[in-house]
Amino acid sequence: MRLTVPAGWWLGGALLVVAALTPLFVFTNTYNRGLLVLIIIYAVAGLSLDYIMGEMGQFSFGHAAFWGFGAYVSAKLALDLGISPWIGFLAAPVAAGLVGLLIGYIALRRTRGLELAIVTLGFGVLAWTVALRWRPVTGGPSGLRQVPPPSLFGWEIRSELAYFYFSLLLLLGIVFLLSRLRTSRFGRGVRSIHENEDLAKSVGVAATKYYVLAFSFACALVGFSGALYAHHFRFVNPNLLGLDYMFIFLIVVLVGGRGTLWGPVLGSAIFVLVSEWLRALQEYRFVIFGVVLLLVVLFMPIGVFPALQNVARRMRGGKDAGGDVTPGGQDPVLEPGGAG
Amino acid sequence: MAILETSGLTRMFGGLSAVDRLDLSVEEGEIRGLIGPNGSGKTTALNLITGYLKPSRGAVTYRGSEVTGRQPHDLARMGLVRTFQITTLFENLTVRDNVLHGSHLNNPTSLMGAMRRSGRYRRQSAEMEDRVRELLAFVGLGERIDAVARDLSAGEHRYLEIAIALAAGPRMLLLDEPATGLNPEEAAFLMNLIRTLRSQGVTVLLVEHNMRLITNICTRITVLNFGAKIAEGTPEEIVDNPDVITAYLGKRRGA
Repeated sequence: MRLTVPAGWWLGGALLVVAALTPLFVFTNTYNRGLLVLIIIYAVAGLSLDYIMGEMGQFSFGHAAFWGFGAYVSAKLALDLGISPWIGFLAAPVAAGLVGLLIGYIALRRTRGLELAIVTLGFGVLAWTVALRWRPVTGGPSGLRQVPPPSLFGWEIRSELAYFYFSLLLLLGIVFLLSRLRTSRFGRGVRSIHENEDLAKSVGVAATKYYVLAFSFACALVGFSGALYAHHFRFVNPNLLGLDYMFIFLIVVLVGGRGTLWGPVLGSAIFVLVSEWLRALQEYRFVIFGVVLLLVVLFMPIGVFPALQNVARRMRGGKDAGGDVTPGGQDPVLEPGGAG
Repeated sequence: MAILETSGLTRMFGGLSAVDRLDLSVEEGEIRGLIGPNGSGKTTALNLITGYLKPSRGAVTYRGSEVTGRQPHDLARMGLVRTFQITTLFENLTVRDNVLHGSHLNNPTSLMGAMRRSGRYRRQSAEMEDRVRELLAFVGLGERIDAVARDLSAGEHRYLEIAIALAAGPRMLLLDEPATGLNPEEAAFLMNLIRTLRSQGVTVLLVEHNMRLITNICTRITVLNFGAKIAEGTPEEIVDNPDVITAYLGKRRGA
């Protein structure tokens, strides 16, 4: 285990340096730089979904609803009340976190695993439907336009390049925060429930309370990602709450690697770039992604990032660690309810 | 003074009572044995006491306050800690991390401290690490600190479970068949551990199958059959009790 952290940060750091340099050399036009921003926004969303999947060992199919909700909160504040996007960047996670607290409280007192996935799916579909129908507030199917970008000392962060570096900095901060959260009392408590809920309770971990708080935290984080989206792409619509984005975040986490911090970052880059290359295929892209996802789950169940870590370790003559997530046997979807 | 008392503790499954009007009173500082044939309700009784199952009727009192139906983690906070019949560990974590994750109640670090890696956080973490090493040395796993829990032998599993429970700082420890899967030397080592714990002031309720083991170590023994208490007394009284012999060996034909 001692090797895992340095190998992860080393690889992740390399990823970041490459990412930071790409807009200067590779992604030189505005459109392509927009893709880089998208990579970061999906990476933040993926990290938050991975908090549920990798750290809690649970599943939420309603995660995109919190993403879209965060986007709407920040957009509405700016459009209707003229509130600065900076306040929106704080208000969106707070609002999404509070709704997450409520949903988590309802769902996690009784359900885990597969049942939780279904409960959150129901919630997600409900939220999407409400957003679609509630025209006066959400703008209906066409959504809301002209969401203002954030500005710094009177200078609007409107250019793709500026927004990219701005959000890259935030992403780095979030990865750092998440890595330290893991070794906190709270992080260890969550991890112990994931590993064995009955045992965790027996040593005094208030399992349901911790899971509700962890769920709410993940919702807050994805709400923040949603606000980042709203103020960059400058529109919001009900589809942001829907299953399309849910599947994108799922692909980001599963392809990148569950429970690895840097995995979702890499997964997001892979998803955005590959889907760009497949752009000509239009809707058929998702068919291909379905196949890719299937292949990854079958042949690289730990995800791409842990697989790379293992390669890095082998080159140094070390042993495979199998990633932070044990391959097989621990899939929350296959093991509803946990032990006991 | 009794540290743990149950009165009329009952749990029905369908029409059957798995535990039937159990009155149990464990004195502080005791090593109490809870024995009985398979299916006699020992584990169910333990689950009822520690909050893993809700009783149908009856009450549990711990250190003078009624705790019937309280959550397991609340009881752990009060010092009532259990182990499990089936080996229950944080299997994917190392031996060190198992005990570290078991130290939840003795983890003084703050969230902000962990985020900032403050000097205080690092000092508290170092103290926790020392405590983990101490506990592992105590249960004889000092050398296995970096092993992954699932790679341990059956005996080591049992010792680690006890180390995890001890990390929670119990006043009373409920052990559910801790000697299962142990060879005689390992079982003897375990018995010594339990005696040492008692001398350190921990009260023990020991659910066990192995008669020899339990008569060796317990101050008093309670015998269950079909969920009900059929005998209680010192080990000497229990081994000679005809009801107990019948429960374990069956009735001789014509007797």
